[in-house]
Amino acid sequence: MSTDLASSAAAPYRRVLRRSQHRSRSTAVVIALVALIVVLAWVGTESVLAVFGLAPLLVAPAALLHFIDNPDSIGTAAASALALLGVVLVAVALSPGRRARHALPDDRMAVVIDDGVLAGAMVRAAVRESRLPASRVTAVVSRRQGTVTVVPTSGSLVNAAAITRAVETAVAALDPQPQIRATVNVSERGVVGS
Amino acid sequence: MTNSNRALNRLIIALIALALIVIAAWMLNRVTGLVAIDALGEPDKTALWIAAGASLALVVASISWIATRGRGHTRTLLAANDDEGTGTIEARVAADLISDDLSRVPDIVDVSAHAFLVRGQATLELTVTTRRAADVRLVVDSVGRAVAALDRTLDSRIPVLLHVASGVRANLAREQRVR
Repeated sequence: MSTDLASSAAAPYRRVLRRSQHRSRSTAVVIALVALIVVLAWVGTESVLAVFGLAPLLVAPAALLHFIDNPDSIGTAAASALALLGVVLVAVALSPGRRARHALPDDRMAVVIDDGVLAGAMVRAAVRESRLPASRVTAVVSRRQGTVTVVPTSGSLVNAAAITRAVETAVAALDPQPQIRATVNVSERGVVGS
Repeated sequence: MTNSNRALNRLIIALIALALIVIAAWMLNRVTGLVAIDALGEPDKTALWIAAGASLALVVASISWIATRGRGHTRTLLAANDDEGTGTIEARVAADLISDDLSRVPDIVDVSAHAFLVRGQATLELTVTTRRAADVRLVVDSVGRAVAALDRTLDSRIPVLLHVASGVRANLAREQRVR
């Protein structure tokens, strides 16, 4: 992460900011390990039962190995499912695991805000400039992009340039990291009444 | 925020993925016969004991890994020693002081706080839930003033992480009319 926080006071916060902007994957690990525990407990139990020549709980190890060695159509389907699950887990392990949050530079604190809050700030700026009811203005914020959509009142003009300026000023005042580019879309079709 | 080792979390998921892919590849290879490998055949007693032992070891390791997640929280924010003993300030005190200061900021719905250890240093995490379309600058500056007041009260600068959140409560809360 190369969020260039201007203030030197923020430097010790780098670890805190990085950790709060990324998922820990602990939930994924716990789910995967619980599944692993169930499977391994079963495999271990079956192995011990087989050593002493006792009846298997579900499938004896020899039969299980035979199934793995000579998969029928069910076995092929199961193998495909396992491969798919493996690929999904590889994606979970390798993806950056970013949370939808931005950092704000601050002298005293490490500050992160949810992208929804950032979108709200953009809506606020657009509403103040356009004097439209807040329900007509929506915003979506992704990592590097913030898009405001304005639905004007039918028959009245909306000054898109002024709204864009107001939104850009509001974003610049917050200076979210990573930086976002603000765009304003004015809907083609207006709405009657307020 | 906890002190979970995130690189190890990734590694564990990757290893489980690898095991699944190896089993799947083995079975699919047996079906298609792309690579000639001998079948696993019948397990003998040694193999069964090894399987049982390895399973037990992995189960124990997995349970201990799961049980040690979520560590790193602390109740004590600050401890001061002198000749007569140790004085500690709990995170709840700081949370109450901050919440009090912020109760009059209109855009803030809720303030919660807890402390956790980052590299041995107690850090205060403040989660501030705001109304929809809140004035974020005002919220952050208000919290900044409350933290400055806390600094003066405690006479020390505790690291603070401020998380401005848009929770479910924020979406349900009535939006403030803009004058």
